[in-house]
Formats: sequence, structure tokens, C-alpha cells
Amino acid sequence: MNFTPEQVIALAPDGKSVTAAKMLMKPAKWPLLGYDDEAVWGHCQGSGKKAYEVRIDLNGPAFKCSCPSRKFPCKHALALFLLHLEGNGVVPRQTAPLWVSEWIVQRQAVKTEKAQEKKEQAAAPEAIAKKQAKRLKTMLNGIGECERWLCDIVAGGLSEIEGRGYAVWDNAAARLVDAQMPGAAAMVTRMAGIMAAGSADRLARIAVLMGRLYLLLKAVTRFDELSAAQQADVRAAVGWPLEKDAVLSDGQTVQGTWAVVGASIRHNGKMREQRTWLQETVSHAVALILSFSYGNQLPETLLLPGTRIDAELAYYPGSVPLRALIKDQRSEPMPMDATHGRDTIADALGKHAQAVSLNPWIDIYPMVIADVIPLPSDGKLVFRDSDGRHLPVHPRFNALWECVALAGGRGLTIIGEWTDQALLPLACRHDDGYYPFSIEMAV
Amino acid sequence: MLESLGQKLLMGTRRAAPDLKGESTYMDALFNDIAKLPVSPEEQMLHQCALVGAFETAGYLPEAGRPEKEPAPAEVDNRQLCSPRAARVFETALKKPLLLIVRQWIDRASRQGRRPPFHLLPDLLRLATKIPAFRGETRAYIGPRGRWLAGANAKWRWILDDEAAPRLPDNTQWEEGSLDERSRYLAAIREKDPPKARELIQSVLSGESAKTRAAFIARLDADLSDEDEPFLEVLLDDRSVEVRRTAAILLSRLPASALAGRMFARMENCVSIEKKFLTRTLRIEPPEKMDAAMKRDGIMDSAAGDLGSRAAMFMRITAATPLSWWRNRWGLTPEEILKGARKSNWEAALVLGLAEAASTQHDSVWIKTLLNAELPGKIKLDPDRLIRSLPPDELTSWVIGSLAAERTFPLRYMLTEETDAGELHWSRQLTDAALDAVKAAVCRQASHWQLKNDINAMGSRIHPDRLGSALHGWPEDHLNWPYYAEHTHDFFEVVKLRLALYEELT
Repeated sequence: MNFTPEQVIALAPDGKSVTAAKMLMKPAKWPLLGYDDEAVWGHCQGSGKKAYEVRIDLNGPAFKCSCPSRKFPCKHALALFLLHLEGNGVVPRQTAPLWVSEWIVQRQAVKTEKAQEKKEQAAAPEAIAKKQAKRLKTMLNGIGECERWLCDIVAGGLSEIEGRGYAVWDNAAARLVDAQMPGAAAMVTRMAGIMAAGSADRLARIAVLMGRLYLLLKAVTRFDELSAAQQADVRAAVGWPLEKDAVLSDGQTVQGTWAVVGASIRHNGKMREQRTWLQETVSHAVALILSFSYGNQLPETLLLPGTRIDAELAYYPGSVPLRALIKDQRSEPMPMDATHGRDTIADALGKHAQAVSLNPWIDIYPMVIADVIPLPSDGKLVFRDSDGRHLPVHPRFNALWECVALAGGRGLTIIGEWTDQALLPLACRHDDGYYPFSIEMAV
Repeated sequence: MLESLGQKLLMGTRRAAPDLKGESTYMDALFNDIAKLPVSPEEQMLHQCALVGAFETAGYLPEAGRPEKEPAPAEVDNRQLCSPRAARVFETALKKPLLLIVRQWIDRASRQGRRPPFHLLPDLLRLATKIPAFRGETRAYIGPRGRWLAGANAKWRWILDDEAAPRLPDNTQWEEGSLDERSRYLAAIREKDPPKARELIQSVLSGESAKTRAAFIARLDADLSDEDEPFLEVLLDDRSVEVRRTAAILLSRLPASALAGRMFARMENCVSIEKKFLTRTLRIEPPEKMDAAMKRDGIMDSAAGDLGSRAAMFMRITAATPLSWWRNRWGLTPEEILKGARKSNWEAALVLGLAEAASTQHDSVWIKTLLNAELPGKIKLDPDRLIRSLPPDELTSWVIGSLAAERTFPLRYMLTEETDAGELHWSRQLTDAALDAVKAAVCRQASHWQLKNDINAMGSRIHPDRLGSALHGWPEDHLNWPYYAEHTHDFFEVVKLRLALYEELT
């Protein structure tokens, strides 16, 4: 895989590492440098006596440095990577010395070992069915308890628990996690947040979420009666993931030129969830690449909004196929030239209604809307389309004036996520080109 | 439907039965089906939640807007968009923020006829809103899109003030504002029409408190001229000490004033010069007691520092005398005066008085003489005050001279906020002197936190032609270097940022 300096900088743990790395990019500091098809390596002379040994595995990428820094990747690794990407012969092509080749071989061995293990485990269909049945059983055990809890609340009314704080909800959520239903637990946590925030429409929002949770629990109870697509929807909603290998081998594949139209990040303190939306330039099909990272870990995909790639995608199963994996990337990222498949507000809402009627647990739905004017009023924003209709903009959107400035009172194409009955803009197309907003929210 | 459902949820099924009316026969039919299910009332309600929830989620309908409430679109900006790299430089400078670099960028971009991408305009507007001194430049550069944005956001409305025909600030600020506001109003009037400011003060003087009067009189400091003299002379009889003092200080800067004349006479009585062959000796005989006239002119006889009351009195007389007297009366240079006072008992009082005069009168010849003079240890001048009283050009020359003499602490006079609001960058001469001095200072001083602060602050100010050479020539092999390498990232980052700026906007 080829990398760009921007991507390398994006891997850095903080801005200081980047500046420190840039200061290290002087050839004088590197008594040894080299690269081959799989790795880049070097000796970096720091302020100590012995030079640090720095290694980069281009498959990954992965880094190893002998310096005592706790940051990952450290400034030496970043500097080496950036030096290599500069080109102009600073890093010469060579045969890898032993301390590099040994490391690469070792990593390869660990990878193949893990892949072997997985294959052996997955193989037999009886094994699969057995696993499934076991999981269902655990989930069903938790469902009965959760249903009783829900009924208790409904019987006593929300007014009774209004003052009681998070404990009521936390316990229920924890039990759902124990019963291997993290998606359901997330719904409970969301309800807790809505109660605590105390907004005017909290009762309505909780009613909707309760209904949705109840529906999900009932659906799990009748799992075997559901169609394959509905089962996939339930699994996605409840947090019972499919194996990636299974999706890659069995999922419906779509080839084409995919434009990376927008991205958003949601984090809850422990985990970061990145949504990258792709749109196929001819068929206008939309795909969602979901990636997760924890703490300082590297994100799994490196797709920048505003680029496009030729690729074959494999979709996860479901009544409304959205989430996908990149099965085979066939080109380097190129700049995106236009935004296709644009709808009016009415059309976009229509597509959403259609989707929700098939999969009632859809929470975040993509929209690409043409020719809308952002209108500020009292610190809030709405979008108006050419039919004169308004769409509310999500209250957590933090680039209100940037969006208004780009439009200048004229129409923009907006790519966004429809969620919480509002549009969260992720990017827009305006007279000068394409501009992605930086959307990162705590949930 | 959702609202009533929410209300029932609030109360709970124990208190309210889950009967719901649909908004259509279709919904009614569904609710009837639910009611017939053999489940508890709680489960019935949960069924209703699921049904209504899905209905509301799918069935969202957008509102219709009112077109007459919308503003007209912005005018076209005919300037060409700057390059992406230039835009990144601008964005970095705005977000930190690095005000001087923003100003340098705008200066270059406006010469090239280039505009920034529109999504950076809100940040520019926010920055200029926070820093009033920067608003003029922003107003001139921002273009039609920026003015359109200002129309939509009250916080930025200042953009739309008409610079071309500056009207005097609104009268209400003078009539009803706080002391601070009224004082600033006065300052604005004084800038445009000095006599009017004086007349304004005159008109309200009798009704104001001492504190107010003193604050207003102080504003006459700007554009002080002989025209103000009659008014100030009258103020020497004011009730308030503060007012009299302020008036006296101002009058001491007007050599043609009556007060100056009185001071000349007093000095004439105290000081005489003895000429013996080539030496000049000052004979000083200060007055023994203070009289009413001296008191009126702002001279006090209270002891000051190490000086007794008589010496302090003489010091104050000296401080209030226009320095031109020394040249005009005796034909001697400042060095000769100081040398001549060496043997006098009143040397300390004289020197301190001369220093005070030099500061208030912004006399660069005297200031430099005093700074360079070799004075006996017991006379402690305040060099900082003297230096800050130098006019800007003199200050720069003085700093350059000091840097050449390997003293880097004067750099801080060139790193203040006032210098930020003035020239866009240092002269080549100052830049060269500063860079040479700090590179040498790194070798002399290990781990000096002030030095590394100064180096970091320099980055945005050095002359563009020297940016390339600023990256090199550092003593990287020196023992002291690792500390500075680690703590001067800001300097190198800013220099590289500015290099990109000048490369992209040529």
C-alpha cells in the first residue's frame, strides 16, 4: 500500500510528535537508512551514545523503535517514514539487515499463525450452528429480565424514576452487555442520557427508543421465524457482529468507482467509531465503512473524504444494505471531481422512510441533498431547498458559520447523516470545490 | 400522537390506561388490534411506543419556510482564490492564532489580488472582533462575502461601519457612558480634532469628580501643543492634587509655556557652571524651602527614595524643566553636564531628575546618554522606563546596538504587543543583529528560559528575506544545544510556515 505524508501525520499521537519528527528529518542524524518492498529501517542518532534502531513494516503499517518513548508511533518512526516518502534518494534501496528481516519474518509468522487458528475454528458448519444456538440462548436469558424491567418502568411511569439518576439505567445496560447484547445496552444508555439532559422533547424521544428496544427484544425472541435479511438487521441492531471473512466471501459484491463523500467520528471515552461514507459514481449506491479504534490505536482504513477509488466492495447482509467492506482496492486514491446522485429534501426523506419501514432500527441514514441554502436564525441553522422546504440541522453541528460562509446565500450540495430527526452535515460541495467538515462527537 | 404517548409514559400505566387515539382510521385500526392482544397494559403501551415510534421516525415531514425572511445572496468576489497551500498557511495562522502572520498573509494576498477560501472567513471575523486594532485591515481585505456574513451575524456588524467617511463617535457615549468609555471617546475626538477635545473637557470640568477630571486631562497628552497652554495653566489652580500634577507634567513638555519659564528661572537660581581651564564643574545650590508658586507648579518637598526633602525638591524641579534649557543656557552636551556634576553633593538628585525629564519628554539624546553613562553605584536609574520612552526608530537603533554588544535582553522591547500592531516585520538590520545575537547567546547561556522564549517569539517577526538563513547556522554541536532544540519548536515551525507563505504568495 502506498502512503502519503498526510496519512503519516494523521497517525501521530499528537502535534508535538509531528514537529519533533520534522526536526529529526536531517540526513545527518541517520547514520544508517534503507528500504525494500516490505520495510523501511534506519539508525537514528539521538542525544545518547547509542543510536536508536527504527523499523517500519509497510504491511500494516507497523512500527518498532528501540527508544524509551511511550508514544506510539514515536518521533523517530514518524521521521523515518516521512524521510522515506520524500523520495529523492535519501533512503536508499538495499538488502535488509538481519535485525530488520528477522522482525518482519516474526510478524509474518504471527499473522499466519492467527489466520490458521481462525480458519480452523470457523470451518465446520455444525460448529457454526452450535455457536449460534449458544449465543441465542445467552441473549434470550437476558431478554426476559430486560422485558420485566421495561414493564416496571412503564407501569410506574417515568416521573417515578426521574430523580433516581443513572443507577436505574446503568444496571439494566450492564445486564444487557452480560447477555451479549451491547447494541441493546447502548439504547438503554442513550435513554439515560436523554433523561439526564432534560430537554423539552425528552418524553417523546424516550417513547420512541423504548418502543424500538422492545421491538428488538421481541424480534430476538422470534429469531428463527425471521427472514435472513431481517435476522441480519436484528444482529446488527443488537450488536452481534458477523465475521469479516464471512462477509468478504459471501457478501453481495459491487464494483465501481467509489467517491469518499464524507466521514464522522463518534467516541465514548473508550472507543472511537469512524463512519466513512462512499458513493458509487455511476449507480449512486451508498456504502458505509465502519472502523473502530481504542486509545492510541491506528484506525483500520485510511480513506480521506474528497478522494475516490476503484474498488470492489462486499456488503453486510440486511434489508437495507449499507455497511460494507473493501474487498479489493484497484486504484490509488484520486481526487473526487463531482458529487453525483443528489436528491431534493423530499426525495431524501422518502428514501429514509423506505429504509426505516424495512429496518426499523436504522439510526443513522446517509443523505446527499442538492441545492440547499443554509439559513442561520438565532444561532441555529436550517437548510432550505428549491421547493422552499426546511430541514433542521443537528444541534451538535459545530461548523455553522463555515457552512453559511461557503454558501453565501446560494445553494450547496450537502452530504450528511440523518439522525435524531435532524441532518448532521459531513461535507458540502460549493463553487470552489468540495469541503469536508470535521465532525467528531462524544456520545 | 407522540406527545400524548409521552405524557402517558410519564404517568405510568398504573395511573393512566394506555388507550390511544390514532390520527387516522389506519392507525385506529392498529391500536384496536393492540388493545385486543392478550398482554399486560404495560406491554400494550410498549407496543404502542414501537408502532408510533416507527411511524414518527419514518414519517417526518419538513416544514415550509417563509421566503421573505431570507437575505439576498452575497455579491461575487472577483478576486482569484489563493492556492491550497496558501490556504493551509492562513488556516494554521488563524487557528493558533498568530496575529502577525495573519497580517503578513493578508498584506501579501491583497497585493496579489488573492482571496482566501470562504470557510476561513468566520475565523478571520472572530479574530478581528477580539482585536479592535486589527479591524481596519480586516475591513479593507475581507471582500463582499465577509460583508454579507457581517450582515447575518450581529457580532460582526462592525465590518459594515463606513471607514471612508469617518464620523465622530456617537454623542451618547460621552453623555451617558462610564468613565472608561468617555475617556476613550475623548481620545478619539483628540485624534481627529485636538482643540475640540480640549473644549469638551472645559465644558464639563466644573461638574466632574477629581478622578474624572484627572483622567480627562491626561488625554491631552496626545497632540499636545502650545494651544493647550492657557487651559493647562488655569488647571494649576485646581482643587485636586492629581489634576494639578497632571497639568504640570504636560506643561513641562511645552518649552514656550509660562510654567517652563518659571522652571527656567528656578534652575537659573540653583545652577551655575564654573569653568576652569578645560573642566566644567556644576555648582548646585537648591532652594532651602518650598514656596507657594513652586507648590502650584507641582513641585513637592516630600522625601523620595534615598533623597531627603531638599534633594527631592530639586530633583522634581529638574524633572519639570524642559531639557532644552541645558543646551540653550550653557551650550554643553549631556555628557558634559553629567561629568560636571560629578563632584556635587546634589549629583544624585540632578541625575534622577534628568532621567525623569528625559522619560516624560521622550528626549532620545538624553535617554541614550543616561543609559550609557557610568554612574556611581548609589545612583540607581530605571533603565526600563528610559528605554520604553524612546521613540520607535530610536528604540530599534538602540536595540540593534545592544545586540551587537552581545546583550540579548533588549530583544524583549521588540517583542511586545505594541510592535505587533505596527510594522509587519523587523528590518533586515534588526533581524541580522537579532539572529547573530541569539545564536551566540545559545553558546554562552545554558538552559536559559528567557532566551528560548525570545527565540520562539522572534519567529513571526524576522524579515522575510532572512527566513531561509534563520533555519541554519545554529550551534547544533554545542553542549547547550539539546535544551534549545527541544524548546524552540515554535520558532522553527513558524519560520517554515512563513516560508510557505512567501513561496505561495509571490
